[in-house]
Amino acid sequence: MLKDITLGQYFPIDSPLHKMDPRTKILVLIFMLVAIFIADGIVGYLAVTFFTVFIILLSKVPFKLYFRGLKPIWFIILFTGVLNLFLTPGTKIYLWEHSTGMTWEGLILAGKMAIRLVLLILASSALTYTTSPISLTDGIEKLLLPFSKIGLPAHELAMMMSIAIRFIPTLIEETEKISKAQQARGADFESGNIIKRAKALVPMLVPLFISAFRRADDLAVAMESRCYRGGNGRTRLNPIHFKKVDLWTAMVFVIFFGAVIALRFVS
Amino acid sequence: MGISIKNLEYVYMQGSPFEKKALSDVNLEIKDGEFIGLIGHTGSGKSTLIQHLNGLLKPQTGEVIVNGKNTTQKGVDLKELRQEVGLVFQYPEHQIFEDTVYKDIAFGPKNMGLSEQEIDERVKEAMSYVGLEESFCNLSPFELSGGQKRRVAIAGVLAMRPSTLILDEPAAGLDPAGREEILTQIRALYLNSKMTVILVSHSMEDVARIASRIIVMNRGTVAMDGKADKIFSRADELRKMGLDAPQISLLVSELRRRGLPIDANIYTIERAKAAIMLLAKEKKGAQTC
Repeated sequence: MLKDITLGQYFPIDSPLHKMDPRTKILVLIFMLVAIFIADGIVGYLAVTFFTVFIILLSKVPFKLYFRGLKPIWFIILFTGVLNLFLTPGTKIYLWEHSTGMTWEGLILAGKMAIRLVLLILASSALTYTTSPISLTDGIEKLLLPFSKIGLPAHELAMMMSIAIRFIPTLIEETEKISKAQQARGADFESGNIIKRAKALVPMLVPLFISAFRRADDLAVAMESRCYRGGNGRTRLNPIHFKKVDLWTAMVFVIFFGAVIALRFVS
Repeated sequence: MGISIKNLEYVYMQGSPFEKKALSDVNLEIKDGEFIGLIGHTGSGKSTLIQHLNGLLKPQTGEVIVNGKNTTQKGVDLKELRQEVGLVFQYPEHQIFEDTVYKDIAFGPKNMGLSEQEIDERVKEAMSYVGLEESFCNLSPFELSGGQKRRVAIAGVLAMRPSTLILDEPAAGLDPAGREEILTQIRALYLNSKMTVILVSHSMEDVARIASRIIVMNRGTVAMDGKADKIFSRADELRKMGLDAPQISLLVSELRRRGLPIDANIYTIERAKAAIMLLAKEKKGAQTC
C-alpha cells in the first residue's frame, strides 16, 4: 500500500522533457491544470486529453508507472462519480421503465469529473517523473524569487520543500521497519474496530515521531557544520537555463492554451 | 522440532523495473538448541531470510516450517508463531514507545493476552536476563543510555518467552564495552535457557566466539554451512564474498606461512594466545638446553 505512492518519484532516463528547464515545466503544468478545468465540449476535452497523452509520450516514462500513480485515486473517482450520478438534478434515467434515481446530466458530469481527475494526476505525474526533486525545488525557488522583494522567504520555502521531499522515502522505510518490529512483538494492526485500530497505531507513531525529530536534529547540525546560513550569496553547481527547447514549448503551449480558452468562451 | 526451510525464494517488488532477487533456492535445517551465526555481506539476504522465520514475510516459492507449522498455510496463527520465534531487529531501541521501561517490555506479553500477574513475572524475568535491575522499571526508556535502551528492547522480545531467538546485529553501533556485554549476555542466555539462538552479524569476531554453527550467505544463497573452524579455514573464499575471517585467524595463517608450527583451526584470541605461549615456551626450553 505504502509503495503505491509514486508522486515525487523521479524516473531517471533521457527524454526531451527531462532536459527542459524546470521553470517551464512548472508553469506549463499550472496552466495545464487550469486548461483541464476550463475545457468544455467534446473538442475541448479531446484537446486536453491529446495534449496530456502527447506529454506522456514525450516523457518516455513507461505508461505502467503512470497507471500505478492513478491507483490511489480510483476510489475518489468512483465516490464522486456515484454522488454526481444520483444527486445532479435533471432528466431521470429509466431502465426497463423503472426510475433508477440517476440522471443523464449526472452521468455526463460524472464522466467529465473522472476525465478531469485522471488528466490532473497524469499531468502532475509527468512533471514529477521527469524532474528530479532538486531541480523541481530549484525551479520553484527561481519562480518565487521576484516575490522575495515583498518579504516572501523564497529560498527557505524551497529548502523546506526539498528537505520534505527528500525524507518521504526515508520515513516510509522507517514506518515499514517499525511496523515489522512491533508485529514481531505481537502487535496487530489489521483487526478490530476503528478505535482499536487507532490505538494500535500508537506503538508505530511514537517511534516514528521520535526518529523524525532525531533526523531533523542531525540534519540541522550537519547543515550548520557545513556553514549553511540561508540563501544569501549561495550559488549553484548546476544553474538552470532557459533554453531553445523551452522557448518552443512555451510557444506551442501558449497557442494550445489560447485555443482551449477560445473554444470555451467563443462557442 | 526446529525450523526447516525448503527451496525458499523471494523477490522484492516483483514485476516492477526495480525488481530485486533477495533469496534463491535456500535450503536449511535448524535443530532445537543450536547456536547459529548467520553472516553475510550487506544485501546478501540475511534480513530477508530471518523475516521468513516468524512469518513477517511469506515465501513466494518454497516453504518454511517452524515447529511443525507451515507459514504459508492458511489459518496459521501468526501471533503464536511470532511468540515462538522472537525477532530482535537491528537497532531495536528505535521501536521503544512507552513512557516506562516496564510498560514497554510488557507490550509483547500484553499482546499475547496474559494475566497481569503472568506479565509481571515475565517482565522481571526478562529484565534479569539482560541485566537490568528492578529499579529501572519506572524510568522512562528515553532517559537511558544507548546500551541500556537496547537491553530494554531485547527484554521486550524475551518477555514473550520465545523458543527461538533471532538477533539482527545486536551489537551494532555500541562501544567495545557495550558490545562485549551484550554478546556475553546472549551467550549466558543461551546456556541457561536452551533456546535456539540465531545471531546475525557481519562481524566474524563476534560470531566466531559464541556460535557452534555458522551459515554464510552470499547473493541470496547459502554459500557455506558448518562448524566455525571449517568455515574460517576457507578465508580466501570468504574474502571473495566481501567477508573476512576473524583477524586472529589471519594472524595464525600468516604465522604458519612464516613456518611456525601452529594449528590452522584457531579462530579465537584465547586459543591463539595459548598456542603462541606454548610455542614460545617450547622455544625457550630448546634454547636453554
